[in-house]
Amino acid sequence: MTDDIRDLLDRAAAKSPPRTLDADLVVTRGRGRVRRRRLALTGGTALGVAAFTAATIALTALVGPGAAVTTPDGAASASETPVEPTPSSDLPPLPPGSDYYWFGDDRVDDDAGAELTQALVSYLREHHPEARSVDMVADGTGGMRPELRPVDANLQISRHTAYLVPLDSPNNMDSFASVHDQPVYQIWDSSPKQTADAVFAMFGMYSGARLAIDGADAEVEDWLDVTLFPSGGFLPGTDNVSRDGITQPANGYLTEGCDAYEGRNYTGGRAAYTFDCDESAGPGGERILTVAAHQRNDWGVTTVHTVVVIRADGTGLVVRDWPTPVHDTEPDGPLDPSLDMGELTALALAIPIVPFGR
Amino acid sequence: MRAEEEAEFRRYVAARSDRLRRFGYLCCGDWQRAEDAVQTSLIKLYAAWTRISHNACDAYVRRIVANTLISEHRRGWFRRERVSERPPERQIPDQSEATADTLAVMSALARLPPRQRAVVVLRYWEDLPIEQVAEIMRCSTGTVKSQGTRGLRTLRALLSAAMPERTMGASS
Repeated sequence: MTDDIRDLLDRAAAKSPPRTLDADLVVTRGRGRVRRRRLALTGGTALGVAAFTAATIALTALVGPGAAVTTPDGAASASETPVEPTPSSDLPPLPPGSDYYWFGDDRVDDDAGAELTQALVSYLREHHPEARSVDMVADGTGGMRPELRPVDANLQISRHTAYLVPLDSPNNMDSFASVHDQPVYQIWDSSPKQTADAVFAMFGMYSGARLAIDGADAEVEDWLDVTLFPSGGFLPGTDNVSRDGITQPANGYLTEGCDAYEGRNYTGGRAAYTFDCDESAGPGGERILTVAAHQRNDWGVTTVHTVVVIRADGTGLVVRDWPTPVHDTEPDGPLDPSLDMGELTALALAIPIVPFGR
Repeated sequence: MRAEEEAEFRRYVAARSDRLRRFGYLCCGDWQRAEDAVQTSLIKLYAAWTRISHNACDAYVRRIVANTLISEHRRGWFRRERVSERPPERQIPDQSEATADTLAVMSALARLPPRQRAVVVLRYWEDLPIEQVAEIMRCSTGTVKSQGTRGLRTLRALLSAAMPERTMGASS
C-alpha cells in the first residue's frame, strides 16, 4: 500500500504560497525564445564565427608570453565564462564522533580516470578471469533478469566532485550543505540502462559497478566500489556504518570506532551491527585498514568487505565489495562478498597512483 | 504562433501550473525554486507548443521541471538565478510556518537522491504508470522499479521514525 505515502505527500504540497507565476511573462519569454531560435537557424552560425574570430584577434593582441590577461577596459578578467573553482583537498577540522555523508556529482572523463579504469580491468582479467559485469534485461514476462557481459562492459572510473555533508543536515543530500568539496575518482556503472542511476551511483547507498566476480549466475551481485581521494582529503576512520541505520552501510570512514551496536536497517526494521577491523602496513609503506561489517537482519547476515589504503603520497583509496540481490528483494539467507579481505586488499594495492585532474 | 494556439497555451498554463508547482516543490522542497523551474519549463513549452502533441505536454513539462531541478541541484544553489523580472507581490512564507508533518515529509524527501526523489514523486504522488515515469526520466522501466522501490523504502523508514502513527511501516 502506498496510500499513506501519497496522503502525506499530498498534505505536504497542499499549503502552497500564493502563485507568482505570470502567464504574460511566460508568453513574452516564450516568444523571445522562438525568435532567438529562428535567428540561430538563419544567421546565427555566421554571427558566431564572426564573434569567435573577433575574440581570437583581441586575445592574440592582448596576451603575450607571461602577460596578464586584461580586457580592453582594464578589468581583471578576459572572459565572462564562469571559471570552476579548484576544489581544495585538505579536509577541514571536524568534530570527533560526528557523522558525515560523502556525496558526489559532476562526472568528468579524463586521462587519469581512463588509466585507473584500465588498471582495474586488467587486474580483474588477470586475477579474476571469471568476473563479469551484470546487466539487467527484460525476461519476456514483464520482469527483469541478470545477464552477464564482459567485465569491462559497464565499468568506468571517472573524476567527480565530492561533497562532505553533515548527516544531521536537514537537506543532507544537497550540495549547498557541504562543509567541504574536492575531486575524487570513483567507479560507476556506465551501462546505458544505468545512465539514470549514475547521478547517485557515487556515494551513499548505491555506489559501485555491478559485477559477478565469481562469474556465477548473478542472483546476488557484487557492487564493487573503488574511490580514490586526493592527498589530505580523507580521514582514516574505521566505522563504515552510520548510526542512523538508514543509509548503512556505505557512509563514512569519518567516525572512529568498530564497536558493535544495534539500530535500524534501511527498511525500518531492527538490525545488529558487528565489525571485524584490522590495520596493517603495506609493502610500500601504505596504511591498510580493513573493515568487515556484519549486519544481522531478520533474514540473516549481510557482510560488506571494505579496504582502506592510505598511501605514502597521502591519497586515500577505498575499495568495497558489497553483495546485493539483483531483484531488490530480501535475500533468503546470508549474503557474503565474493572477494575475501586478502583478495580485496590485493586489488586495492593494484590501483596505480595517478595525478588528480590530468 | 497563431492567436488561437496562444490562447490554448494560456489555458494550459492556467489549468496546470498549480499542479506542476506542487510537483516541483516535492522534488526540491522550495516553493520559489519550484516556481522558477515551472516557469522555465513553460517558456520552453511555449517554444515547442506547435510541434508537440498536446496530450504529451504534461510529460514534456514534468521532464523539463525534473531536469531543471536536478541540473540546478548539481550546480549548487549558489548559482541559482531568478527568472522572474518582478519581485513576488506577497512575501512567500518560509518553512517555519509549515506544519510539523510537512517538515517531516519534506525532510525525509530531501534525504533521497534527486532523481530518486523525482521517481518517487512521479510514481507515488502523481500516480503515473511505470512506463510513463521511465519516459519522463529517460530511463528504463527497470530503473524506475528499482529506484521507486528503494526510494519508497527509505522514505517509509524515515517517516516511520519521525511520525510512526502516520505510516504503515511495511515496505511495498
